[in-house]
Amino acid sequence: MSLLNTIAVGSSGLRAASESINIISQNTANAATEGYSRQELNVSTSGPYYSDGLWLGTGVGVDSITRITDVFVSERFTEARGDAAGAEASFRAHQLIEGSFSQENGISGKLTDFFDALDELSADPSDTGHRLAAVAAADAFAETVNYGVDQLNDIQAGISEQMMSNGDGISLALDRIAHLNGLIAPGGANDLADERDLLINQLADTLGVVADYSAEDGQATVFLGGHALVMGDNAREVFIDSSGDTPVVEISADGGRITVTDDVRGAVGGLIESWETAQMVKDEMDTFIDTFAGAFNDQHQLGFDANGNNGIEFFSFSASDPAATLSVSSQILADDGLMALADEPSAQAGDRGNLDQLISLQYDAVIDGETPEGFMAKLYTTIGDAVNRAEVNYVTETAALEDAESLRMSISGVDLDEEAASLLEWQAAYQAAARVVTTSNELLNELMNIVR
Amino acid sequence: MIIRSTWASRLSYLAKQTNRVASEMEVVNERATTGKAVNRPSDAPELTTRIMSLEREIVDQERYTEDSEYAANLQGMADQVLLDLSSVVSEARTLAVQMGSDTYEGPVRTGSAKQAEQLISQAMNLMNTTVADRHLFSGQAYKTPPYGEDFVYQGSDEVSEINVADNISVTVGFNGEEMGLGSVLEAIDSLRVALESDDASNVRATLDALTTATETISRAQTEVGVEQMTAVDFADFSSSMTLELQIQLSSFQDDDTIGSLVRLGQLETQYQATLALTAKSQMGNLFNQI
Repeated sequence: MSLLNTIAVGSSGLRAASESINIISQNTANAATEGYSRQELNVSTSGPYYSDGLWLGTGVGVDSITRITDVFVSERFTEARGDAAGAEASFRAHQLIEGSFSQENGISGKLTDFFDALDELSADPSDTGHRLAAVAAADAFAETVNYGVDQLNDIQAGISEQMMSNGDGISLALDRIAHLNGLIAPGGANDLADERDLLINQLADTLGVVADYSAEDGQATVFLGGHALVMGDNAREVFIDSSGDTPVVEISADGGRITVTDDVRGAVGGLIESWETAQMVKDEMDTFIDTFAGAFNDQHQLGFDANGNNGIEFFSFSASDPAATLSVSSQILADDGLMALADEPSAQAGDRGNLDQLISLQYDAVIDGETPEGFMAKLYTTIGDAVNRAEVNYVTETAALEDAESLRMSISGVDLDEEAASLLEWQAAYQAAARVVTTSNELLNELMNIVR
Repeated sequence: MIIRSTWASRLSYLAKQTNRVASEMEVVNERATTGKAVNRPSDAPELTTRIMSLEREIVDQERYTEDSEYAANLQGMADQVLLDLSSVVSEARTLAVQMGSDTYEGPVRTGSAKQAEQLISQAMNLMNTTVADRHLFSGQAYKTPPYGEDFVYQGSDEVSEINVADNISVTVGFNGEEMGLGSVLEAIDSLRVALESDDASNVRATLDALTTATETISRAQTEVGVEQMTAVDFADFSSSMTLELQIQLSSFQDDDTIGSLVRLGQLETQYQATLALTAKSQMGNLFNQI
């Protein structure tokens, strides 16, 4: 072997060490970068050559840089992110729904107060103070119902707004993923793959997409339900419309659109689920008010007021939107004498015949086989169950995501200790290779001096 | 088990642990400060119906206690009025015995008619007594005095009642006519008429009616007494029921405050430990040693 060859072998070592240190610096620089996958330099012994009956080495060759990932773990991580984001969005929104129906000072409490005021009035039906108290309790009940429904409307509006704002970025992200797929396909650029996977994971957070990372060429296919949103460098468009009666999610297909609302998970899926819970509560409230206030009005009209006239409707509300429009009759608010508590036109001071009937409505199964309070208790239980389910789901999915994330980090995450050890190792290799080059150079100089 | 632990995964784990401990601290804090383990339906959905029903039942029982006590007060006043009325009749009877004697001269007898008139006025005032703006013997028409100048009953035939328990009520506005209070007035008035006419035998004849009036009042007192006893019994009953229901509600709803405080102490220690570990792990890596 010639000294020149020795220098070449040494310099191959310098290059390998230099490249490796470069990768170590890239890894440490991105140790805290979201979505970054650590990289490794693949080196191998260069092919030997035969000279003077000997096989002599030619140094080290730099083969490639590998992005350390696991297809199965990455796919599971993407799926877990969608599930966890959906569960979190759903849990948060369900908590808001429950908060708007606070048990103690909420609708049920006000209903109890109203019947309690009627009970108190029954001791002296002619007493103006008690009458005013009962009307005020009815008014507070109606306002609390209105407030509860307003809160639910606000929650739904907030959900719609959130969904629309999520929707704005989705199609752009899909286009970018497709574009990156196109760039990755020929050479598998590691950092571009990281950028693409990060976008896919963010899309999983929003829409609950899943991905197939197993293609040989490094491209990823993104699915929503059974529909491919990104395949190769082609992407579909996603449309979110929450302006109508119910939120709708569609994707473009063959010049038209396909509805995929039921397939959506992620934050948008969680929000849709919460929107539906809010709507269920509103519908139940409408049933409650329509039936209860209707029955109360019917009974009130059978009685006689302080002037001996037939009762008027005690509550007023619109048939199309009962809970939101519920109020105590403005005439009764202005004149408590219009409360029809008597069951005889003579309406003597202590005639509480009709008041007793009104009070007994609280014990009558007037709404779907339930008493008014029983119905409300059932509704509270349903809301409590829904929040509980959302919480259990959130805890479960978050734990599953943490597991998937830990697993992913254990494979793709950067460990600073490991990188530091590697740095020491390659630093030593670099110093040794440099020493080989300088020593060979000195020997070569010696040789040249002999010749001179 | 994690095969390869990294600096970032260790930090991420610590951050999640810190967050988890902080979340539980918030829950335990709420329980300790409100004293309730169930603060919203989702804390125990299976108990929601039971808790709401108990809360409603407590409100009902508190109302019954208040109303029973109010009823007992009204009835107590009615009983006092009847007692006073009995004294008035007794005075009328004494007057009848005195003036029924032939020993009294005409002017004395006719003069004592004034006394009888005053007794009528006293009786009328007693019967028309109001408590909390309610007449006690006008039935449902308790805003109207039971008897006018002509002793005609002006009240209602229906009694006025107050609920003291589910489906149980007591009378607080009595039907004076049904009790026979009108006949009491008539008996005293017949004495007045007999005295004015200066007829001793007629005066003596009113003694029977006055005796009957005393018996009538006595029966009325019994009636009021029975109603009052019922009201007092139910005031006691609803009061103990309220207590019993509150104990039941408490068993469902209340927090084990001592347990919560102990748990809070544990969580605070755990929280400080995770914070310390997080701070320490920032410093400890091989790069610092190179």
